[in-house]
Amino acid sequence: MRGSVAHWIYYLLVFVLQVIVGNHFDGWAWLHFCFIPLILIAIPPTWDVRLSMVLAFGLGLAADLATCGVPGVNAGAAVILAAVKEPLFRALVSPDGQNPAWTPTVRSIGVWPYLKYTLATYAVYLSVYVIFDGFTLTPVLFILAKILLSVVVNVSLAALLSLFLPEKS
Amino acid sequence: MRRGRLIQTLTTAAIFLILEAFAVMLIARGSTASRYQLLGLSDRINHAIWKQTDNISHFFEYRKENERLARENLALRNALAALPAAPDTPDEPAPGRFSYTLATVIHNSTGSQRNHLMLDKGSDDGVTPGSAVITGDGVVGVVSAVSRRYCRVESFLNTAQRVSARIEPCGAFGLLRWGGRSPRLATLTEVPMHTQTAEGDTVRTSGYSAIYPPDIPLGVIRKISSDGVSLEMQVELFQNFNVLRHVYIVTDRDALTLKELSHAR
Repeated sequence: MRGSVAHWIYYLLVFVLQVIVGNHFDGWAWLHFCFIPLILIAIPPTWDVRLSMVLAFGLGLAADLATCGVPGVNAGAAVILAAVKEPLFRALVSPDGQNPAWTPTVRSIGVWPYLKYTLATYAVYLSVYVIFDGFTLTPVLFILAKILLSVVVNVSLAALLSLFLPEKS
Repeated sequence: MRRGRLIQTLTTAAIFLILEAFAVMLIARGSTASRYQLLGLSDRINHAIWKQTDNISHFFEYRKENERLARENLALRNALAALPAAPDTPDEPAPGRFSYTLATVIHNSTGSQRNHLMLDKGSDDGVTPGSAVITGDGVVGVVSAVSRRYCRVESFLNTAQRVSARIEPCGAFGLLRWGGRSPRLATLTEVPMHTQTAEGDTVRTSGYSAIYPPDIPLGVIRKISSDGVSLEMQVELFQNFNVLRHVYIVTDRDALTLKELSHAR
């Protein structure tokens, strides 16, 4: 129980971090800092995908409103990630089809599987986010470079932050 | 069993489509009713977040001095706007047509493809959607939504924005738009091929857009190229969007009349 409360506090802090970064560190055209996928991949893969999508939409919209973004950009990207999260987990982490009821972390699934999983989820999320943000793919090289750089930086930060995630008792 | 799975798949797909359609609708609907409602909804939350964190991130002394200078500038601009036009400049706007309201930027983004600003002036201060936002260094954007105490501005750093511009000294016109990358670079397009211009020439607003007053400095031409039909120029903007603090909201008293005329048949 205490572990669950600690988890909620952890995700609340991650959301607050997203709001602070979104409001005060949004000046880099080549890089987009994003912590929403970190919260989304924390939803255990066994959860109903419909519930995950609704939660993801609410979370994304809350982030859009709190960071003065275009309403719908984070929400749209979050729903897509919630929809593909479980198949990605199965393909990259658990090929035998076993979906754990716990949150995947560096400690619970190992460094390499965790990096593979977050890399894929961030790539999906940021690609959709950047396309929704501009509703365009031009200039294409710039867009691709932005997605690539953002994925690398955000996955590194996500791995670092996941080390602070309390273990559920 | 199989039927149950089919129903589950269909409901999942339906929820996915509904949520995505709603998200896309929110993104696509620029300055419409939903934006006003959302702005009103988040008004208090935003006030708490931005005002408090903003206070921490600015030095008190600099802020006071900046505000004093900005107020002084405002008084001068309003005095200038009230002056009658000289008889030999028929293109000048009618005296007193534009009025200026000083506003402070409380949120500003420059890292996205469709950037926005939030200003601390709203409908209580007479701000209306469609008003231009400028500084002494150039255009900032257009007010897209207004709540009682705040307004949201669609930044010029928005791939959908266009500003009608004029090159000095040749007088040729073109459309200035942000390129989507550096906040200091924009592209001037649709400039006629025969235009005699050079790198280093200044670009100003033309006054043809019905949003921005004429002659606001925009930037300097840095590179000229041609696509065979028209000239395209890279313009280095005077406006530094990363350090925006005080801006002017421009109210055009003739805006409604001009709009009605432009829609008349």
